[in-house]
Amino acid sequence: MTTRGSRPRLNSRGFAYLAAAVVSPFASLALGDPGPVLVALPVAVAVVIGLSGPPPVDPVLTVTGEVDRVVEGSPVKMRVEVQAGASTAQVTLDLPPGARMLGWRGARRIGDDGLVLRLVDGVGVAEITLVFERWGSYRLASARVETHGPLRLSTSVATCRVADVVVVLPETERVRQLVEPLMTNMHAGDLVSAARGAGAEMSELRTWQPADPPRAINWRASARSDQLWVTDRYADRNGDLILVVDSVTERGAEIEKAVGRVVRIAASLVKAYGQGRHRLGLVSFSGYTRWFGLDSGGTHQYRLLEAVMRTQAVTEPVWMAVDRVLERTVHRPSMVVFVTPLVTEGIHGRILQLAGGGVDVGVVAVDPDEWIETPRDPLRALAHRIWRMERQRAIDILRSSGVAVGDLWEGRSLGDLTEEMDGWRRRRRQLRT
Amino acid sequence: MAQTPASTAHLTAAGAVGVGVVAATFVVDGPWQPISVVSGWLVVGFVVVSVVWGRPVGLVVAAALHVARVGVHGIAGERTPGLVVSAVLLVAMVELATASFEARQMPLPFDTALARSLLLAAAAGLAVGLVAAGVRSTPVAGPGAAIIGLVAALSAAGLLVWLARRPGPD
Repeated sequence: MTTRGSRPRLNSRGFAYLAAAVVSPFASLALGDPGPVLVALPVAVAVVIGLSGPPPVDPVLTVTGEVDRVVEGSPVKMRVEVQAGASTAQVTLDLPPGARMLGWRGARRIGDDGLVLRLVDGVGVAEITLVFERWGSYRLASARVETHGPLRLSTSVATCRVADVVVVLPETERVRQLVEPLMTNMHAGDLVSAARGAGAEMSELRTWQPADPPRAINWRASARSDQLWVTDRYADRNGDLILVVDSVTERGAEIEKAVGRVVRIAASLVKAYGQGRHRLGLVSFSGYTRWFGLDSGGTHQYRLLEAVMRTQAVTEPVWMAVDRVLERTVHRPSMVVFVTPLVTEGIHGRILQLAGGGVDVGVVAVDPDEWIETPRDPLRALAHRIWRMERQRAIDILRSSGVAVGDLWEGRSLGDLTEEMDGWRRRRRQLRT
Repeated sequence: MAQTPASTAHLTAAGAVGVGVVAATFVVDGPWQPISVVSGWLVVGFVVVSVVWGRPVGLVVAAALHVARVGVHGIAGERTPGLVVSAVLLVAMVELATASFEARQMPLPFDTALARSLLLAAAAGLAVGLVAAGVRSTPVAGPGAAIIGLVAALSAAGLLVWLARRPGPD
């Protein structure tokens, strides 16, 4: 926080009165009439009183509450403290676009972003509640604090800038049933691995072998037999999951809506998979192709959310860069979840290629009709329908290749979609066995 | 009418110009009439320029001119308007114009600005009325005038020097 204050200075009112006070004796002398002096006498006295002025203001703008991880729409409390030798102070907040004052306490509001604080013993405190309407990074606010001297003839101004940056995270959907990776890694987690090891899920009973730990002996089974039996268990492991965020849109689409939808879904998945202790990675095609390697933990999750929020709309990604990044980051046993509107052919091919290479792939297909206006012209409407059919055909091809695809149309919750995808995978595995 | 900052700025500016126009309508007869008329409308002109331009320079000149015009009316023999009314007009004009400047920078309710202007103008008028009643003076003459003039000039110059030498912003 930096504070820049000024000493009391005459304002426009003070200068006008000063001019009248200074000119009046000369006018009286020149014209031989006491009228000017008499008229200007009260204002001259006022100027002298006004110039005694308040001491320099010392505004302190502090921010309270959890401000570095705020979810959009949730309130952020700011505390404005002003110290000055005046009875009132006028605080004008310069809020960033997208932020607005929701409530205030200890002050009187003037206009949209102005507050008047009453100072008691030279100190005034107000609490302001701000709300941020959209995710993103906001430099919180700067405040201009103005105090006036007696008769408002002199003014002290201080500008207070808050260096705190509030990162407003997108509002996420709650996802109960996730599409879990089929293969697990070597780290302990919540998933039941196919490998044997120390876990909760029982695999089988087998006879004791040298080097089996005594704790694994099943004494109950051994008591009914003439040899020792051991309980074999599946290891509890976690999975590797790479989220591929594709915000490719069509020309003329509502960019804000398209990006907003993709970001919210991706953020929901990052949060949901992060809670399951999976190791997460991210590949984003938006503008610059970006990627984050596999890792877990709150800091990494936060880093991914920030990366997701930087998503921009593109009409055509740089496929060469995308291929290189996918080649570098995606490998077994990772599961890859694409969040994509599936509007480009390039993405279908890459998903099929990964699935063909034995990579566990899931696709959250965001319906682009949300942000593309349906044409009214019959010919264009026909073309739109054919394009929709092609997209549906691409989804069918992906499903037939073993890729779990969930079509996320407007109004459908992400939780329902992931449940459907998980159910589809289970049924497919049952059919195979 | 919703009191937005813009409307407050416009209304107070119009009020300041209106007060200037009222002051300009008080004109003396005789040889000083042209100066009275011209100075009256010059005051209005400076106020208009000031509130339209949004800078206080015009207002400063208008205030000084208004005070000088009181002297012109005094030597013309007609105290019109009276000293009290002149003071009221001066303070009302300055207050309304500066309220207009303030309303352009920060939210300011019009009723507050108007009430403050009228209250201060009335207070100034009352003060002038009391002083004028106490002095009951005639045009200054004699050797005392030079002393009074010297003291006044020194005081004004001293005030200006003090203002110029005050420390600037930190």
